[in-house]
Amino acid sequence: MFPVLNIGPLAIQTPGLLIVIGIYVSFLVVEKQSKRYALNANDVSNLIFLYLISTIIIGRLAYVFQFPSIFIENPLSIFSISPSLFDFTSGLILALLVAVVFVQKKKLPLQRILDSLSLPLLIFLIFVFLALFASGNSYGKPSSLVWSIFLWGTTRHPLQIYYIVGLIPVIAINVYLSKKKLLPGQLFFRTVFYVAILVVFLDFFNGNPNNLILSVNRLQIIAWFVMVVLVFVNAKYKKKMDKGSNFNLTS
Amino acid sequence: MKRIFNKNNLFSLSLFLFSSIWVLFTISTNQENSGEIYAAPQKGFIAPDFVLNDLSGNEYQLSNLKGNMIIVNVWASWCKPCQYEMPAMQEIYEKYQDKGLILLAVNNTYQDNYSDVLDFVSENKLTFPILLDLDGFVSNQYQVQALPSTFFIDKTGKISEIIIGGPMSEALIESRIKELEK
Repeated sequence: MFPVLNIGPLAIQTPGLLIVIGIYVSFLVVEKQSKRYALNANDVSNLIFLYLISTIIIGRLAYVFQFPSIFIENPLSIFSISPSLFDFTSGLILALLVAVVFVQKKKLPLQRILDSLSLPLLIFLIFVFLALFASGNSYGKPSSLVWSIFLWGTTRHPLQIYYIVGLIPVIAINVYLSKKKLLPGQLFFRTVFYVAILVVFLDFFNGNPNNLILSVNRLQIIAWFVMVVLVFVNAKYKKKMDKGSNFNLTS
Repeated sequence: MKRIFNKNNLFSLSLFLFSSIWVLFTISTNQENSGEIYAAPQKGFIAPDFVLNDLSGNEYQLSNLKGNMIIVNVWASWCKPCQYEMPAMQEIYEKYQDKGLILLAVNNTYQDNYSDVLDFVSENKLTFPILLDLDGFVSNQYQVQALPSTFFIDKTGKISEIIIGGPMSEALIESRIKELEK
């Protein structure tokens, strides 16, 4: 755990730094993938940029709407650079709507874009878990295994490391599938399916008791439902492929 | 439905079934381990206990203050962000003191100058308790790596939020207090 990097008088938050590096590396992969999927790299970059900006704006507005009286008294705080004045969950979800509107207005091939983004998203997830490891968040359950790490009062499963290790075969499968003949969107949904499986299995080791709903981890429940939906989605794709209709190469 | 449950989807379906069994298994295990709670400087954990004296020599033990909303702010008089956020802290303290807010400003005295601390407190007319961490015990317990570091502790004694660095705006402090009031 290494939440702060002290460089002279500067205290740089390591998790934030890792997220910034993750965004940069993922952007590099996005550019390469755009070429591979015959997409306009500018359109894809604009879409991602719009999504990130929308996440920040909506995240701040969602936070302001939760505490309106406070921000009426201190209106300038709406423009504060503090990352603590954000509701990132609302931002990340609602910004998807903005992205969908942009895709429809520009008439972009959504399914191919999703396919091209599947690999950069997996790479970004690795940086997210590195950031969580640095901050000590998403910690594991207490454990006495040899590879347990001492964190928050006891030795625990290194859950963030489990996720990073688990994501490596998912990346390998993604790269392998991207070389196969698939329908547009199929690569993305298959990748999401494998990530959902990973979450269902690994989040069992999540040590945060506040995340439990009816003794099951919240994230496990969400991932399980995503999995159920994707079993049907992937089956439909397979049926389409078997019929041989609308056959397109994604690579 | 028949088309979904065919041999082509056997791999997906077996993964789905296996993971469903796994989720059911986790229910029983989580029920066994749901009672665990540790003291640690992390959101959701019990705030590590400490006993410190204020500038007048009065003793404060964190665990004795359970049942109140508590802010533990670790600071030093030479730290610029700490200096900038103290007026906001004072305003918030005056506003929420009657609603059960306790603000403990833990000075890193082992890295500070006692006379500078006194000057700073009188210049800024701070009325909340200024606790003196003479040997760095609190900094060590709370794994403080940057100043200021602020810990918001709820009425059950659990840490509900940690803000590393500053200066914190009034809006930020107040919104976190609203969370503590819930």
